[in-house]
Amino acid sequence: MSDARATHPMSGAATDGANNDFYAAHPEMVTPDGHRKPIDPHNKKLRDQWLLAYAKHGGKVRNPTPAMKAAHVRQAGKEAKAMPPNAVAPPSVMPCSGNGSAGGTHLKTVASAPRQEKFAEDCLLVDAACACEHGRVAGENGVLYVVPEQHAFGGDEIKCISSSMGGCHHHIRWTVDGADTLSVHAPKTSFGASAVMPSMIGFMGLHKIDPRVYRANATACRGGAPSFEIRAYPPEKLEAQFNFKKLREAIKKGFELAPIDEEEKNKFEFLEIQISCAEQWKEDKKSPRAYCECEIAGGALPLIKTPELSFQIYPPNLLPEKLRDYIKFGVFVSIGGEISFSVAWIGKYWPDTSKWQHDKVEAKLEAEVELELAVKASLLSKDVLDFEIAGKTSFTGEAKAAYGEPAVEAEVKWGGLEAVITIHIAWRIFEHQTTYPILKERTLWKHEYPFHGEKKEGEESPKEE
Amino acid sequence: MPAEGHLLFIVNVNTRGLLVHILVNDITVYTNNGRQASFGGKINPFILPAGNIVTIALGLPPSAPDPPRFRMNIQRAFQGADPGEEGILSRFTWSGQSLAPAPAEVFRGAFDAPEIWWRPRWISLPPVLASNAELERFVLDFVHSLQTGDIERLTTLHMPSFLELQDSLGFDAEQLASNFRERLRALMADPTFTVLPVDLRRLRYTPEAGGRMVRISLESGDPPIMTQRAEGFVPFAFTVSRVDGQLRIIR
Repeated sequence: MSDARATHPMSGAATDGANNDFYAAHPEMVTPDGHRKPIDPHNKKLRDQWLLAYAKHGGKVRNPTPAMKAAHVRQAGKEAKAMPPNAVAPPSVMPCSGNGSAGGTHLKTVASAPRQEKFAEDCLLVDAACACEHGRVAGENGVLYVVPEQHAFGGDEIKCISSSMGGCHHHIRWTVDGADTLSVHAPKTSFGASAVMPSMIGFMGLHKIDPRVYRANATACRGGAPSFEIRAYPPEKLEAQFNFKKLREAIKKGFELAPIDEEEKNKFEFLEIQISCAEQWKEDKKSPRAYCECEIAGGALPLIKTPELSFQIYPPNLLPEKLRDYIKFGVFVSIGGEISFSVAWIGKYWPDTSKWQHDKVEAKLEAEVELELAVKASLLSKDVLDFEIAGKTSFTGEAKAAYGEPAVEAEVKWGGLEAVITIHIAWRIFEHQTTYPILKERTLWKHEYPFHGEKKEGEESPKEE
Repeated sequence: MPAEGHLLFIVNVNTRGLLVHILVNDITVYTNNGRQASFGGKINPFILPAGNIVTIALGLPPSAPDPPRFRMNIQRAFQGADPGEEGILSRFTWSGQSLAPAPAEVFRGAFDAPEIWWRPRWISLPPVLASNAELERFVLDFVHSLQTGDIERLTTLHMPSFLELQDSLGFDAEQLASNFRERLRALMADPTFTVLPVDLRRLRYTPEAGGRMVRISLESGDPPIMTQRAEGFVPFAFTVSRVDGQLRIIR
């Protein structure tokens, strides 16, 4: 009998008999004024007792097949996993508004009238459902996520439908509370689920917005049905642009270390880094779920334009002192290459699991700028017969997009610059492949740049479009 | 000599990842075994008034860490001033065409220098015509002089090269010799100074300038004699000619 169900349509006589037997065995479920408390359908023990009595009085009962049981278990597991940790679980049985049963408000009787014989039987609630205006119904956990197409016109129309057996059907009552309140004596009704108007929460925080929550319950004299929760998210698409000023400034500052005159550095052109971000809530057409879609894309290619010229090394004291007389100002650096930066991050945030689903996660910071030493010392110094110098350094960058919250981690650095010098002067004693440090290797900037979250000090704010 | 800076002929090289051998009038002016380098060297002592020939041989080693490149020009300038494009007499840029691992000639260019007033001494010298044994004795003589601190002997061996520099670049040969002695004294006074052993079997003798010179090097092209002190290595590389019947350093 453990998984037995009564076969529809149910027998009125068997139901009456089962009720009498059941409540006789459970006087604690009968109030002093004679009202019988409804059986909690989730209380398996009580439900089985009632079904046993129902069968004894000739009611038809069926046992589900093993395949049906397995499907039921799988479905239950799926529902359990899909439930957010803080999911609101409405009471499984709500007090019937029509019969003043225990647990509900005791209404004072101000008048009484004889009830017609044909309505003497209680209304038995057997099922209920809620659907959005696109036809999506609440899931097994009773939650339906909706994204109204617009804020006006009352939001998304939620249709509430119930089915009952016996009685007058007039004791079916739909109650909606939460963001709105509604109480209707009818087997079906509808209400509008609207969402809050979003405002920027930190950087692109639309996915963190709280939904407007509605709870809908159907009650009757007897029986029970699932209750529902409708979570409404705003339909707006929020767009913003980031300039990544900090990265740009870090790279610009890095080039201040280049051993060339300030005037020459001013010829470098650093371009803006434009990153576009957009977030929007969308309904999942194939399920009662909804997600916040986030798309981040953009960059700069190239990020820096450098003139293809050679510059005199500066300041001159970077050069080895003992050779300075020979080198004079005959060492130059040439600079070439380019830096590019791009981000492509597309993901969906599912509020029921609080997890991001990543469709594309890419960030590239490609720096191929090289500083190379060159020499004209033979031309400029009388004593130098020949001079060879070798040395180069690279401006390197690395970026990766973070999984989880949309973010980019970037690092830029200069490699060290060492001059390897061979110098041959007129009287034959020369420097032979001697290494002199010019610049030390250093990391210029390492930073995780989250697209979402609170604005941190020193970070630029997004510019809303 | 004009009042402005001394007239110079300079070979400028920018190379990376290639085996390089550049000769002017059949005299080695630059070699490189693959390292990245920017080089500028005066070639006045090797220049003739007309018909100067520059040849470039390049080779591509099997594994080069960076994309290889090579460019060279020969520049005519006055000391202290860069004439830029106007001073270029000959130029070559390797465009990436296929190269064999061993250096092979990829460029041969010619240029004149009619305005030079000096006459290189080496052009009048007879062929060296030296046996390997004689060249080995020369190397050992040089090493022995370094080990024993025979500065005068070393100066004498170098004197023809100082005279070439005097003629073509305006130095005073005696002053160069004096500076040379002073530097050798300082070098030898260093308590850490040592002359590294020379493996005669690894020496290579390459005739140059139509046989008027012999370039002495290791098989790798590196200098044949290496000395060392705490600050680092001090190599001695030379090309010899037969001057008055004796082997002497011409450059």
